[in-house]
Amino acid sequence: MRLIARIAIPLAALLLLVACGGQGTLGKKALSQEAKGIQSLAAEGSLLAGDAARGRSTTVFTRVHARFLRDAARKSAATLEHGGTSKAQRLGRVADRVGNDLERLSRSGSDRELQRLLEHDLALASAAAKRLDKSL
Amino acid sequence: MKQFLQIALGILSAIGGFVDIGDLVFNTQAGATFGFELLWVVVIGVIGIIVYSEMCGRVAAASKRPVFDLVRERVGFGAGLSTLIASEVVNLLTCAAEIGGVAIVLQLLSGLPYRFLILLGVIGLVVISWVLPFEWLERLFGYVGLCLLVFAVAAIKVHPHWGGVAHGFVPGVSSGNRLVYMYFVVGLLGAALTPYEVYFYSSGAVEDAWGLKDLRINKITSIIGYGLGAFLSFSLMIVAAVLFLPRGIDPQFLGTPALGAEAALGKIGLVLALVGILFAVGGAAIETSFSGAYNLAQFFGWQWGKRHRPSGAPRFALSWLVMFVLAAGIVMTGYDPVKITEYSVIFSVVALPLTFLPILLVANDPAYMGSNRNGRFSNVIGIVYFVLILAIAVSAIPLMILTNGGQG
Repeated sequence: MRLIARIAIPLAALLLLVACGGQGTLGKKALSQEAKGIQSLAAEGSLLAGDAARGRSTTVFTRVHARFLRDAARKSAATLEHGGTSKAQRLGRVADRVGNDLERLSRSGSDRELQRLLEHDLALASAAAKRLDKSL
Repeated sequence: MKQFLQIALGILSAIGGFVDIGDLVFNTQAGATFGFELLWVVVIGVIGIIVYSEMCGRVAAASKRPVFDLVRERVGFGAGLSTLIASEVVNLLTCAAEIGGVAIVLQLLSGLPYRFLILLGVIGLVVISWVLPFEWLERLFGYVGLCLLVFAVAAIKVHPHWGGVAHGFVPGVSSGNRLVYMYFVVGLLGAALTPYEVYFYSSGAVEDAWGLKDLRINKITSIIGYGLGAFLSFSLMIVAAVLFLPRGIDPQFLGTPALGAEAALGKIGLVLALVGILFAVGGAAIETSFSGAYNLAQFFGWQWGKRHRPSGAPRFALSWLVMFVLAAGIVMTGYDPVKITEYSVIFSVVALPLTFLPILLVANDPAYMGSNRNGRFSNVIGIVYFVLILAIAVSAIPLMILTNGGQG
């Protein structure tokens, strides 16, 4: 019985460590994929916001498509929140910003001025995610 | 004059019905990832679907029996059952993806909740399938699907580098990630060579009571209809290459291709694209559910076809209804239809040899075909394509795993 405990306890501790480690730290490849995903979402949001600002989109399409993009950005932000490294946290902040911008875009209705601002901000966020990806 | 009109209508319907959710997803992603580099793959895929659809139509016209009816007889119960199971799984997954696509497009048009629109979409498709005769099903979805031609206009409007486009038709190997490139080659071929299309085409030929006099219509419709339909695939890829690749956009949503039409042509482009996508994926949902029912009924020898009232072919009618219900159940779980599409296309590639080998065997069998059996040209090209299909079937799943579904 003591022998089983002697083997089982360190094994359980090791498994716990591995499991926590797996949740807490994102590898370089996973981080790069997240960065590319955020860059893509921000760029797509910027394109959508630009079309909306120029009256080239419908209100419903802008609202619904921006929500799809927002949900993906938030999912990415949640993954990065516990990413471990400082780069993951910086990327997480960019994902947060993209998610918030897309939320505002989805609620922008026919506010052309706001849509123009969001077009610009999302383009900057896209560039920031791209820079972070290159620095990995 | 009447025959000319029939051919013209058949061609229009084939163009409009060419694109489904698999084409939309893979062509747009391929353009956004590799620019014009993969245009040649669409050509290879379209020639393949022309060759095998023509064979299927000829088999149906010459023997008055659809392909699946002959599969069991020609290859035996065991091999026939394997083909049936593989086809039904792929049909169900594809039908689920198309229904999810219908709901997403309805949401992009109306803003109503997704799950409510799945229900509404399925009820609408069931009612339309129940009420309309076969030829009107083909026409309604094929003709309104022609709205997708907006992507051809958008492709011109975005001013691509035409030299680069021309270069994309020359087969080559990418300088980028080669595994991802190969994954898209397999995906694009799978999207073009879907098994349900050949089963539906063949059963449709029997539904339309084709005979030997219709062999010319079969040849012209399949060559010109699918050939012109390929232009829609080229257009999707060109628009994505010009608008999405430079911005680093990786299309993961069904609304993204429509965003391409919007960026090029404004509101009218967006609305036409959404309506075109709605009817293209709606039509494909009906084709996949019917294809599933056709296969079951033909394999087990039940009465089948839209030419019968549902009470005259009850098990057939129940089969396509069950296909719709199961498919709706899959998307109701909330699983992303674009992901289901990627899986369904890759799994359909794995099942392709089981679909295409029996067609090749039957089309070459004088006992069924008499003097209308395959000529030397059809046989050579049919065998070349079968070897290609075997190669992509073997590599599809490993490539999907190695590239993380094309993500690299």
